[in-house]
Amino acid sequence: MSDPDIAMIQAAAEALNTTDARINTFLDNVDADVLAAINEAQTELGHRQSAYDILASNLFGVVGTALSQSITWNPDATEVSLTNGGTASTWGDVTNWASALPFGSEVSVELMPGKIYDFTASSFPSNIAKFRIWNSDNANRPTLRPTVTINAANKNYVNHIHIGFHRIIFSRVNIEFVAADDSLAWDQNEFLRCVDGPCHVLLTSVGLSGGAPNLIADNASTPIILTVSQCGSSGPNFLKRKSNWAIVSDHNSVFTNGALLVSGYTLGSNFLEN
Amino acid sequence: MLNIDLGPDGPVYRNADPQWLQEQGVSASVIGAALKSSARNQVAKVANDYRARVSSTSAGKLAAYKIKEEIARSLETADSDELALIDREATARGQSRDELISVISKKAQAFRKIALLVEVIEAETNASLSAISDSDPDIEAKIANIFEAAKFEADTEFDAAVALIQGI
Repeated sequence: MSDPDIAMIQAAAEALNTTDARINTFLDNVDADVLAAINEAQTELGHRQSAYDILASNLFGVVGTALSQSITWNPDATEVSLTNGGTASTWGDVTNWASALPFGSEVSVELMPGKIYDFTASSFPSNIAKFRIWNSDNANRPTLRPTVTINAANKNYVNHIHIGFHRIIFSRVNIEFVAADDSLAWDQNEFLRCVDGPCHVLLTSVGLSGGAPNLIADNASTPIILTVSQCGSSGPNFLKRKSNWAIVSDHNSVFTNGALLVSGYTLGSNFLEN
Repeated sequence: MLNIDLGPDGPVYRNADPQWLQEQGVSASVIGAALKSSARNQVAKVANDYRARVSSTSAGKLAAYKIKEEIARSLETADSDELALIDREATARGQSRDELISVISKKAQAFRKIALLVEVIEAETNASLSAISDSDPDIEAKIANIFEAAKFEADTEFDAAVALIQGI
């Protein structure tokens, strides 16, 4: 062979060697990348498995925490944190927070001792099964004051909230109905109107005051169960009949100024009591 | 639990414990009077329960029983048609007329005794309750003791009467 032929063969061999080296490098890189991807996937899978194991071994705890949340309602709060254990400053905050929770949740709303809460809103979260509004200091109870306006009949009208299929607990709080105009009569209104389904309202260490007619009323298709313990009223009735039936239990109750535990019911016909 | 109404200007307490009433500032004598009133209501209720247990649940059955008791007490003057019916019942029950009359008489005696005893225990219990001072510091314990003694006597006598009736 001539020199040029040998040179061509050598060049071709060199090119083949270079290509082979590149292919080997490429394949090595591919192997490394694949291995890294597999390792990463296995690590991620391990993390997910661990997370799942933790969830599976404590499913009740996880669900329980998700369904049982609390918040503090401080009308003077400057920073609002609508999370479990956080702080709300208005009833609107409370309802926004509670409405985002899973259906059937139980929530606890702690009020600040001695504070006045002007209750301006009229909404109530329908997704909450058990709604507890409470305060830790019985000797220094906060006061909820439902807003009262003057209605078309020129009477004081209680800004009420609709409840249904709920268990609502008030504990160690006072509820005061302040007339919008003292010279006007009260309309037949109430603060809690049970309209969307049967309700169970539990009151412990609750004092009612002011001239408003009633705290609670049933409705056409909504009977009510009322449990009252260590409560009193100096004016409003606890429960008024509109058109349904009620079961009422009370213990250590005191009434003045003609206040009643129930109004408008007939014992044995649409009303049972202890 | 006690219900106390302290008049038109005073508070009304419902289903209240004596201790809680004391914490609310209600005087011991008012609480004592309420305890006695509640106890009297309880006595009347228990007495009525015993009366209900003595009596038949069927008014018609009780009336029939009283007719038979009357016949049993005055066989000599009883109507012959009625005696014939007594005989038919005795035959149906596998008894003679004298045996059926004896059963009726003994049951009547037991019923009368327990009915009268309920009246006596009710009156004596109420008298014992009245004898306690409204402001007696041991009023709850004394009322409980009176109840316990009355219930024991009533239960004992009632069981004896039931045993007599069922054993006949």
